[in-house]
Order: sequence, then structure tokens, then C-alpha cells
Amino acid sequence: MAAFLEALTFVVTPFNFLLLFIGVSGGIVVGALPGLTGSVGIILLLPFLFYVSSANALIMLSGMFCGAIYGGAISAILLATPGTPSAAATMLDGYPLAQKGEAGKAIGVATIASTAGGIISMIFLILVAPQLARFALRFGAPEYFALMVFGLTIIASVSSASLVKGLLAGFFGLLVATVGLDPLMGYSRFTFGVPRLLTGFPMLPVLIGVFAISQLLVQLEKVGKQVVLPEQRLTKVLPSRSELKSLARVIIPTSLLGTFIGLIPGTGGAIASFWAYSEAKRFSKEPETFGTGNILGIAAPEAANNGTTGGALVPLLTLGIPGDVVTAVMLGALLVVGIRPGPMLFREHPEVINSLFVALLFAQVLILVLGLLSVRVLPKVLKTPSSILFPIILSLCFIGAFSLNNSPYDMLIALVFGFIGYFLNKHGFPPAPLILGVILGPLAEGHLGRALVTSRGDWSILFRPPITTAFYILAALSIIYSLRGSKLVATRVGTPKSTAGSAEDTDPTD
Amino acid sequence: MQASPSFRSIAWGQSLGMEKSDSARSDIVFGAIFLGLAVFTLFMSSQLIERVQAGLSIRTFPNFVGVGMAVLALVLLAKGVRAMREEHRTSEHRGASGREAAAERSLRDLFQPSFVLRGLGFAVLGVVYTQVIRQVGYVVATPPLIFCAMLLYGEKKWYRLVLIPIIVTAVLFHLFRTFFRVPLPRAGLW
Repeated sequence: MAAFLEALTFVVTPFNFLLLFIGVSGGIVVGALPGLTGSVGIILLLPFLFYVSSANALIMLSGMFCGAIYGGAISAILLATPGTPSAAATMLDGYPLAQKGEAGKAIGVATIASTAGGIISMIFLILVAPQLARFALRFGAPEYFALMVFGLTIIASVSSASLVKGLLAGFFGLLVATVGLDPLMGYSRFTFGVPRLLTGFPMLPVLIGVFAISQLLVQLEKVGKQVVLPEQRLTKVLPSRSELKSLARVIIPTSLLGTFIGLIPGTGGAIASFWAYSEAKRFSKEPETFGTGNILGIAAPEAANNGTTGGALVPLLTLGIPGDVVTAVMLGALLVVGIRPGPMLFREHPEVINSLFVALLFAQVLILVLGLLSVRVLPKVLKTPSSILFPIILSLCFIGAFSLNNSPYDMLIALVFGFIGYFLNKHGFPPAPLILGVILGPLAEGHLGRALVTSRGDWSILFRPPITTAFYILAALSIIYSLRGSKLVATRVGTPKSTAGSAEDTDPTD
Repeated sequence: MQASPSFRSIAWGQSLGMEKSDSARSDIVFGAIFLGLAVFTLFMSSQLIERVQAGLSIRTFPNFVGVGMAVLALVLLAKGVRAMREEHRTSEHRGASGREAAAERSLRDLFQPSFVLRGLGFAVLGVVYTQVIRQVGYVVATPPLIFCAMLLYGEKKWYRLVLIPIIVTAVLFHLFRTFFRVPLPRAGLW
């Protein structure tokens, strides 16, 4: 309790609260703007975080992470264009309700459901994460290697459209990660005599390039095709008391559903929201009203996709493996600001973890307050011309890349990886596996090396501890699940009927 | 009644916007690129001086990457060739015009003319910015970057083209320097 109060005192200091406020409000805006996602928001935030402490940085990142998931609902409701893929299901009833002249209420319901989903999942995170971290303290190098193998199989899960292309992108990421000094002996590999390459490709410029600059290039294709925001009435925001009662019956179970889906690596908000939507429809007394502006059809996906945030943070914080694209980017961001997620973080820096938990809870409250208060402002934000927005983002991308080492070379790397990311994405190679390869590849190689040093070259050590077997089984299941998903997509891809806009450019687990 | 889109169709089905023939050619091109990359990786790995510690060689990881990439690239190539043959058989039925149309579509997809010019402009802008920022400093280099980028993104209003680059540069400069204390490149007076 004392630790919690200490963390509370830390988070509510004016500077930290301001950071959280900037993170949440920035996240809402980034999530709401079609063409930008939570991943891009987190990356754009990084240059601001180099010169603040790790705990401060974590507060701002957590605000951005939560705000962006919620923000996607705004454009889904007002434009029928989900800001993030996880808000696509919200569009199904949000937009029809907005067309009936009740856009304010649609946003109000989405805000309340998002906050409730977020709070429930954060409570779950606070209760479960420390226990799992305590268990993970027993892990040695073989267990960590098995865990990284499992983490790398998530590549398959986030690339179900074409497993081959996803895996190729992942292998390309692993190849990028081999450049530089090898993690065990420190000898150079693939540096071609260029001293700069001894440190490999720095993660931040690669992240900026693959996620942010590639998106700017995608938007460059759409010049002159900007979505026109229809005029919406944004008067009544809060639902009535009887509506709130019916909402509560949907929000609580779908929040829990979202939390559990978030726990499973390779899933993410989009799966949770569509699943929650179909469950809400199945249990509804008026399923025929879904798709015509039923508020339960807005609440269910929003509670679920915000519910995934806490669930997805459990494996990230306790084991250091990301569950989806946003948490993969979050992992990269945490490493960049000097925080290494894993059980040791819980043991050595409990104050950082406690302040993160408090910040995540506060972020949900801020989402509620900002969401309800800014209903009339957000449509104006959506009207920002892309000819102003994207040049500013380009400038931020370059500053971000530069500020890592104060080097224009890093800006050039970001630019090159931006084009690589654009061309790969354009031809069906998802960017998430590339990043997972870049982040997890060296970690896997490092743990493999340490395990073999411990066993004096005996490879059987990798299979001896029972936990490693469990991770290898999970890895196999992850691949089987992806193969099934891949077949499912192959049968569906021929007849897509979506009306979604910007989400089409991004990954469903984003 | 509105059809419920699946998340997969939203995220993937439409993202590529490619027809089968386009996709097949793209698979062949990228399969070949990745195969070349894999062969290059394996060759470069064989050139590394062999050093082994605890049964793990400096070449183990690059070899694993090279072999894995080569296998996957071959699978992608095979998929592309098979799809192309199917497409060819279909276009035989449609006649020569069908084949020409398919070839044109694939080229259009790989090198969209609308994008090529803007993309080139974007690349040149980025490269020039990274080269001059050290010499002239952030404050001098950034307004032209934003100005040119605004033009690339289709801005036509002159007052925006003049004001936004100056305001954004000033705001970001002060935000980074005074609030977050990030040292931005300076040269001369700036």
C-alpha cells in the first residue's frame, strides 16, 4: 500500500501529470487521425523522452498507448474510417448512429466503454503481472531462449494473410539484426569495413522508418483524395440512466473477454473487438438492430479493444515478449528509453512498475474526461489537412532519428527503412514481423549463447528444463494457429466487402 | 443490409488492392529478391573467419537466417510461378488483349506513375535534408523541408506554405530545446 501511495505521489506531480496528459491527448489525436496508428504515435513520442528519466518516459508512453486505442473510435464513428484496425468493429454501429444525428451519444458510449474496459484490464494487469514476474525469476538462459523462440513464432501469428510473406519479413528483420558485433564473442559480421555498422542498425531509426515514414509514403499516394468530414450533430453526449444499465451488462463481460484475448500473443484489439461485437449481438434480445446504430454494438467492441491493453502488457512487462504490433513497438520504445521489460524489472525497479500501474489507471480516467469534454473539438482535429499534418510528422520523424545519437546518419537509415517498409507493405509483407525479427533476433542469439556457455556446448540444455518444453509447445501451437488463420484468409480474401478506410493500410493486430 | 466486414478482410484483403496476376508477378519479383539476398547472406557468412565458442559459431545465426530465407523465397517464387501459369491459361482464353492488359496491370502496380514522381521527390528531399542539417542547423534546414513536403502533399494555399513551416519549426525548436532539452543541430547563429 505504501508503495502504491508513493507511486501515486510520483505520478500526480505536475510534470508527470503533464507528461501523462500529453501522452493521452496525443494518443487520442493520433488514434483518431486516419493513416496514423498507436505504433506511429509511440514512435513519434520517443525523441521527447531521451532526456527525461525512464519512469517519466514510461508514464508518457503508457498514456499514448492507451489513448491511441481509444482514439480510433472517433474517426470510426464520424467518418466510417477506423483510425486504428481495432476500431473497425465500432464503425458498424457507431457510424449508423452518427448518421441518425446522434454522433455525440455514439462517442459518449465509446468513451465510457473504453474507460471501463481499460480499467478492468488494468486491474487484471496489476493483480497478475507481479505473480507471473515472480515465477519468471526462475528462468535461466535456456528458458529465455525458448521464450524468444516462442516470441519469434508470433511473427507467424501476425502475418496470417500470407504466412510465407510474414515469415520472409521476419527473416529479413533477423538479417538486419545480424549486422554488427555478434552478441556472444563480439566479432563483427556483415559490416563491410564500415565502422558505423559495427553497432548494427540502431533500432529507433529502423522503427521510425518501417512504421512512420512508410506510412507517410502510403499517404503520399493518396494526395488529393482526402476524406470529407460530414457535418455531425454533437449535442447529447451522455447516454440515459436506463441505457447505462444495459451498457454495463455488455461492457463488463466484453472487457474481460478483451483482457483475456490481449493475453494471447499474436491476437490484438481487432480480433477482440470483432469477437466481442458478435458475442454482444448473439446475446442481445434485438440482434436485428445491430448494424443500424445500436449502442451495445459500440460499447462491446470498444470495451474489448481497450480491454486488450492490460492483457497485452502482461507478457510484455513480465516476460519481455510482445503480444501484438503495438506492444512490439512499445518493447522497442522501452528498450530505447533504457527500460528492459522482464521479471528483473519487477525485482530491481518496483517503483517504476508501480508508477506505470498508477499511470495506466490515471490514463483511463483521463480518457474519460478528455473524451467527453473534447467531443466538439475532435471533429475539428479530423479536419486537419494532410498537407499540413504529414509534413509536420516527417519533420518529427527526422528529429526522432537524429536525437538518438545526434547523427544525420540515423536520419538516413530511417529514410532508407521507410522506403523498404513501404515497398514491403505495398506487396503484402507486413511490417510487424520485420520489427519482431530486429528486436527478438539478437536477444534469442544472446540467450542461446549464454545457455551453451553454461552447458559447455551441450545443446541438449535447450530442452532439459520442463518450462522450455512448454514454450516450444506454445510456439508449435502458435504456428498451427497461424497456418489455420492463413487458410481462412485465403478463402476470404477474394471477396472482401469492407468499407473501411485507413485501417486497410495497417496490421490487424496494431 | 450492411455486410459485416471481417477484420482480416479490412486489414489485408483490401490493403493490397492487387489482382491475382499482379500478386503473382509481385511474388516472383520479391521471391527472386529475397532469394538473392539469402544467397548473398550465405556467401558473406562463408567469408567470415570461423570462430567457435561453446559449440556456437559466429556463422550459426547468419546461416540459419540465410537458409530460412532461401527456403521461404523459393516457396514464394513457386507460388508466384504457379499463379502466373494459371493466369496465363486464363488469358489464353481471353486472347492477346487479355495478356497485354494483365502485363500492364502488373507494371502499373509495381511502379505506380502517380507515386513515382512524388516518391522520388520525397527521397531527394530526405537525403538533402540529412546532408545539410549539420551545415546550416535545424532552424534553417527545417522550414524548406516542411515547405517542400507540403507541396508534395498537395498544399496550394500560399499563406499556409509560408506560415506553417516557420511556425512549426519555431514551436518544435523551443519545445525540444527548452522543455525536453534535446540538443538539435545548430550552425552559426542558429
